[in-house]
Amino acid sequence: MLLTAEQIDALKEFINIGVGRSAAMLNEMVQFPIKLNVPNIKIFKYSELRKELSKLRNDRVSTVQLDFNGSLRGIAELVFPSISAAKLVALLTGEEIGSPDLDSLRAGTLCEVGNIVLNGVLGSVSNLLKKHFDYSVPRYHEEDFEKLMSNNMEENVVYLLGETHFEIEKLKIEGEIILLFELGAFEELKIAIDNLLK
Amino acid sequence: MKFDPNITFQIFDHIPIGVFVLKKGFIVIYWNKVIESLTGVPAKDILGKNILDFYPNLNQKRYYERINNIFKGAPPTIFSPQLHKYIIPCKLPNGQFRIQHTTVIPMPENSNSDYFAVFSIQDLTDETKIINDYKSMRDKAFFEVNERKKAEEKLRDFIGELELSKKQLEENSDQLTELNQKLTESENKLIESNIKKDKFFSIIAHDLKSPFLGLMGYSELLANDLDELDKNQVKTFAHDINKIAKNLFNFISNLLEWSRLQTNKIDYQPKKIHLKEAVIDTINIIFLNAAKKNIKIINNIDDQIFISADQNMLQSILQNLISNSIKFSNPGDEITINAEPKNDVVEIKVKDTGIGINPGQLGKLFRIDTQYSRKGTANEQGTGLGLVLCKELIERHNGDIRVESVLDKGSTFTFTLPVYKEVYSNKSK
Repeated sequence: MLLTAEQIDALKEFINIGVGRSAAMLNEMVQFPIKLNVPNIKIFKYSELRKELSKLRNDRVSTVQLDFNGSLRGIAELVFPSISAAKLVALLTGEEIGSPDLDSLRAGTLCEVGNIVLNGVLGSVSNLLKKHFDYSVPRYHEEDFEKLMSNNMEENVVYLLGETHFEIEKLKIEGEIILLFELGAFEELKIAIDNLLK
Repeated sequence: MKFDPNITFQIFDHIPIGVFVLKKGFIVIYWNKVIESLTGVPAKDILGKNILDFYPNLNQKRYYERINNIFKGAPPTIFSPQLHKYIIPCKLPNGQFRIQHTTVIPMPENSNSDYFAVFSIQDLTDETKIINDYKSMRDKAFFEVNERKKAEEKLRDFIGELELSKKQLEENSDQLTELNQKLTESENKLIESNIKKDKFFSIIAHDLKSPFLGLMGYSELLANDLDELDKNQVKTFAHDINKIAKNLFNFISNLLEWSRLQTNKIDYQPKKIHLKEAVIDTINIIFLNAAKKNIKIINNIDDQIFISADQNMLQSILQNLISNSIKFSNPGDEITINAEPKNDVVEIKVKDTGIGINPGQLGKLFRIDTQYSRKGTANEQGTGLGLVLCKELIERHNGDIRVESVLDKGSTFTFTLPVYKEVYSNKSK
């Protein structure tokens, strides 16, 4: 059931490439260098995953979420602490930073940012795996991180979590790019990776 | 069943958002009623044509690439209103562009692996207006709150400054009051000093004149009529001249002493003095005056009393007080001198049974500015200077002087001088 070290390395690489592409897009938008951590990729059961995610953040966050289906199932999520989200939107629109809660206009802006970043990751992963995904329209959420993540998870499912922390140091904006693959599609993922490694 | 986009997409004619569909190559294959009305471009004019010919702005890299990816099945793409003025320009009656949120989703073509790009344009013009109105209200409220805060701060600063000024004013006022007080004191001293000076001249003018008249009269008599005078008469005149000269000398001595006291030129040199002997010495000097008026002087002072005093000053005090008593006593009267130690001082009383002093005049006795002078019972001259001098000499010894008097019954002058401690403590053993 589990991925081999080789498979994990390959997946890390794909996610890394995807995240790198997204970061380049974000960089183009904000015109400030973005510092990326090496993605952290692990496999968890539902209960462990909740624990792991609660380590990541425990604050109120603004997220853009893209669900994907098809040969693989999962969630791609761009997560900002609310204040970082407000700063980022203000930077892109040239407005003053208002309250950390975004109105629908500003939520739309963050949604597009998330869209570009997540499309970068997923497009890249999809291309590399030569697998097509069906996507939902990106959705904007504002909630406590723990609650948000638990809404999107199901019990009895094993997940593969790919997570990267990024920071725009000069603007004190930080956030996470999170990819969550469901176990149901796991075998197919393994085959896809193996095909590439052949 | 063959996929017919026109039939499949017809449903979009019944939803209130602008929808159009492109196929690979940016060819318009569907254009709904709402987008017709938003753009003013009828479907029949645009269907089957390249949208880039109608809307060349979509040729920009940031649109072209993202849309082109959709034809390959890339994830949906969003164009948000704050980052894009428009995707498809739609004007309002006032000429401004409608505010749009555009979502592009891929939809697989059945015939091949390509995807349609389904555009949905949500009009946010009204919502944006509401949000902007709300924002400007909020900004205005923030601005007003800030302005109020600033005004409050200014007010606080101003109040602070006012309080500081008030404090300084109060301090200045206190200083001014103090200065004023000093000025008043200084002015009073000046007035007093001026009065003393005037008095001094007045005394010289008046009181020196009379004895000289006497001296001139007697000397003239001697000079002009010496041959006609017998020896006894000459002797009497010579005595009188001598007496006047002596009095004058005493008077001038007093005056000088007072003057020197005023300018602090007299050395105060206290020493141990046997009080009874000092009184005896004084009585010896003025005994004749008393004898002439048949006045008895009784020295009741205890043999053991010693005081600490300047000898010359003590002499002046006693001489003045006892002489006064003689002046204002009638023949047969008595003058008694007593002394009583009280703590650190000795209280000395010079009491007579003379004519006494009018109670209304008692307050004037020791003041040079209200010089009080009257002739004695035997027409003795007074200067009004004696008691003033006494008071000052006694004050030099840190003592004080007071008077009690009853008309026709007599007067008692009481003054204090420091006790000579060592001796007195010996005595108490």
